Amino acid sequence: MKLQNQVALVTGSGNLKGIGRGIACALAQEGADIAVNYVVNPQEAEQVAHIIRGYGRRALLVKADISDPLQVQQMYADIEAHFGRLDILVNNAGVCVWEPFLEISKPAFDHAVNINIKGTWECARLAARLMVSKGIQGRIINVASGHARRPMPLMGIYAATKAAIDQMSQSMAFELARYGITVNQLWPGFVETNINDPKPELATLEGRKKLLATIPIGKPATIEDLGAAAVYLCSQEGGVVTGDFIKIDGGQHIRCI
Amino acid sequence: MSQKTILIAGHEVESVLMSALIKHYSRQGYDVLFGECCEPQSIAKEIEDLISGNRSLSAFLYISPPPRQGKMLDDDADVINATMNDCLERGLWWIQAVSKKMIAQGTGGRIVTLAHIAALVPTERFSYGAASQLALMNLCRSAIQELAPYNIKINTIFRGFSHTHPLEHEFVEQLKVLHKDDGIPLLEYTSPEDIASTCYLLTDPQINSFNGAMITMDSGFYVTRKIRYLSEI
Repeated sequence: MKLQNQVALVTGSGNLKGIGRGIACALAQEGADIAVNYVVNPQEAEQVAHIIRGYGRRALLVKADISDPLQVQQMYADIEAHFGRLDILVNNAGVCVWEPFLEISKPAFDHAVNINIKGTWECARLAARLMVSKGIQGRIINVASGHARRPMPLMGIYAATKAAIDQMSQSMAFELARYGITVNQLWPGFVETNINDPKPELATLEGRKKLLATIPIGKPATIEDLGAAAVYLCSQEGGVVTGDFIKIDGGQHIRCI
Repeated sequence: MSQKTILIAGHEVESVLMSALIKHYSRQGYDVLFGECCEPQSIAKEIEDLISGNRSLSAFLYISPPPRQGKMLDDDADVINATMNDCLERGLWWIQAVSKKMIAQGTGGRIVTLAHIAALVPTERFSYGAASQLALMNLCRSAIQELAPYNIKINTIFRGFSHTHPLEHEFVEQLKVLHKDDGIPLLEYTSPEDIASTCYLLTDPQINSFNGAMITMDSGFYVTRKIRYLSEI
């Protein structure tokens, strides 16, 4: 086992279909205890925790809306009280907004920025502080997207927030390297999760076919693919990788970066 | 014939850069106007008030603020909060409103965002405040396809360090000492005249092909820089 006796927080991992669940389960299978962060659905989060316990690991459910700094602080207090340490943060929680540029509204902007940028930043900041205070050479993974560098119509706000995460991740990597903490990103392409349910292209079979045609390898990435990449970045073998990103997209963004 | 006009909004820059911009555009026959609003609902009205009579809004320059300083482990969570609102959000509302005005005119137009090289390079002290600038560039790039039918083009300049900005000056002088043995010949300040000329190039209505470009004006700093902490580890 690559992550024996380590503790990981995976934000937004309380959804059975989500990338967070894929990552949380992969880390648990390698020996990590998991703090499962969720916001809206405690029953589903409990099911994720149940899967993790099935691997013989401890699981703690932590309810927190990451756009609220007070809830984030409480989440870290709960994790420290329960596990006494934190080795890994996977900043997975995020939202996607589809709006034409000329019609972007303030509520949509605030919603995406508060979660994707400010929430990600706050979670990383508190994790880094906890790791530094305990002398843990931890790992931070921020889940961004190929849209960080390949913006598309209707996805302006989303692309903006992911570009900010890209830049912030590199700054974090630079600043935290002196403490032995690595910071990297996962860039999923199209993954069949709930976040993509409102995606306009998926409204019709024809649209779905067109979307899949943009993936050179011919199939979407799975949440298990994302989990495997996260395990690598958190393992000893991934210990000298920092300030970088791994694209898990079947080549979807191959020409764009 | 309508009077071509460039509108400048966003944040203050060094007076020498503003003088160079005004001089450059005036020489080319532009009226140079300044927008000051920050609230989305007031910006459109300010544009209507400014672009009246025979004026036509030909070009818009959004100036991002100088990158704020801050460190992740410090207490200053504000460094992200404030810059996202100061730069990204204000930039969005201005560019959106300007685009609508250009569409209403039916004339097309050119938009440039003036960002900072620190937005591209993870630079100790400056980078977090610069995340918003990269975000704004990406937001604009996502709008390109939507605005192309109206002949509106958006490009971004990442300017290098300013000789007259005290913090940037101090930072560059430290970098020069750190890099003195690294063989980097290009650690220089960016001149205001260079920036003004490049802005003009990107807003020139005769040039159609620039769209979604990001131009680094840093004498090669972005390409040649080596990662190095400012203080001993």
